[in-house]
Amino acid sequence: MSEELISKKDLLQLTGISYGQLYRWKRKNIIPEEWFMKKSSFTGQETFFPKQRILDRIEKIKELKDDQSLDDIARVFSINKEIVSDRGNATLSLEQIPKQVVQIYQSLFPNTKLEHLGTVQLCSLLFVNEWLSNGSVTIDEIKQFLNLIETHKNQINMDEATIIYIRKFGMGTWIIGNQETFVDQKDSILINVTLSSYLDKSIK
Amino acid sequence: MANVQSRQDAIINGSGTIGTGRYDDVKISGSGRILGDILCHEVKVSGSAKFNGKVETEYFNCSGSAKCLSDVEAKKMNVSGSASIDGKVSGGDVNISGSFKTKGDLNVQSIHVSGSMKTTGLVKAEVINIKGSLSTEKGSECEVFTAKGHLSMNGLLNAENVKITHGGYSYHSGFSYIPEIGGETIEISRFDESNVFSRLFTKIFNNRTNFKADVIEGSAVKIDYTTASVVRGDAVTIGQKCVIDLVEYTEDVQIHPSAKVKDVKKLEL
Repeated sequence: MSEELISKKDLLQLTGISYGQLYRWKRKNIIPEEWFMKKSSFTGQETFFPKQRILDRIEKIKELKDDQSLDDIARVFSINKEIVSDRGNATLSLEQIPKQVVQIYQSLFPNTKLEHLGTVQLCSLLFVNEWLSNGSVTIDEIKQFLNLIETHKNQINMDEATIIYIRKFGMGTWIIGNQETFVDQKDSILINVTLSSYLDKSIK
Repeated sequence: MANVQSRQDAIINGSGTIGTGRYDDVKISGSGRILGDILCHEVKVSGSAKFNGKVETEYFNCSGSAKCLSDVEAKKMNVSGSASIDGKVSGGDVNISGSFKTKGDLNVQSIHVSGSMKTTGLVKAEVINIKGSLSTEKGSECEVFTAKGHLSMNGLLNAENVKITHGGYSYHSGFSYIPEIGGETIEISRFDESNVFSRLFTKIFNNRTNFKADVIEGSAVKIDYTTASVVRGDAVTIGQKCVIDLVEYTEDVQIHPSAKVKDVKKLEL
């Protein structure tokens, strides 16, 4: 999975922010350290960013920064670091999850209290909703996925996790990886998305 | 002779050991060993002390020599002797007038160094003020960074305001070097020539060298006597005797006649 990259110079030109702002945001951890990627170029070393993610993030920071302090914004973006099942989490709530998906979840895990769902689980439910409703995966496959998420919900890092689904000869398999997971391109990769993208969708 | 009582003072005048526990004051004026984690109001070392466990305290004063094998958390830390910490350092104000070495990361409110500080971790603080020497293996992040003296970093210096006044003497610990500096305003200059002592120094050590960096990026950048590969910024002022490979600016650039700049580019927004 190769992601399109953007150099720091192009990023600043495109978004119109200054070096001072970029470094300030990095200091406040609004832009994660891992997004600063060093690559050698003809002028020595240059810093690159994952294009789509950094553009989305900067767009959102610009929206928020007029009426919120940087520390508050930092809190919004660091929800992933909070403990799973943090109920005070206002940015992603159960109401945003469509009912039919919640029903599937409940049928699988009748013992789990819905209000105890963590960010990872809520994001995966949004994921389930999208891929079920566009008809790419079957209910059985989704159940497999939810089981996988439930088993590893405490180990999944929201910022890094990507969900990959591969189907070959009618057999499917789920992979929860990070940005550095490589899959044989001959396998048909049906889905390859970052979990945190669902978090961003819900904030809007 | 050791006097150890739970939640009371633990004082060593001579040689002794202190066990794990909560204390009021921990004072060591001879030689002492602290065997485990301690939580106390004040730690005072005027002899030599070795802390085997974590130290959590309001005040940490060391005018002798202290070695901590684990983390230290202190609201106020004063080192006028020598201290070496293997774990992480967190808390409020750190004042160093002696020598200070850490292996872990520092995450504190402010750091004032008038002696020497050396760390292999990352330094995070609101204010960093150096009047001696600072050497970090990973870099540092702060709001205000002021330094007069010798600097050596192996990572990014990321600060809102950076102000570096360097000596440029290469006789002792080599030249000052920071690979990457990023921030809002960045100012690098050399010690004022009007000072009698520095003029004398210049005469004795004629081979003054430039401050060295690879990349300097800021909204407003003003540098003197600096050697760098790339300088980027909105408003860039390249002062005396700078040697720069590439300058990129968006609004304004000024280059001193004695500076050597290979390439200047204006970026259109």
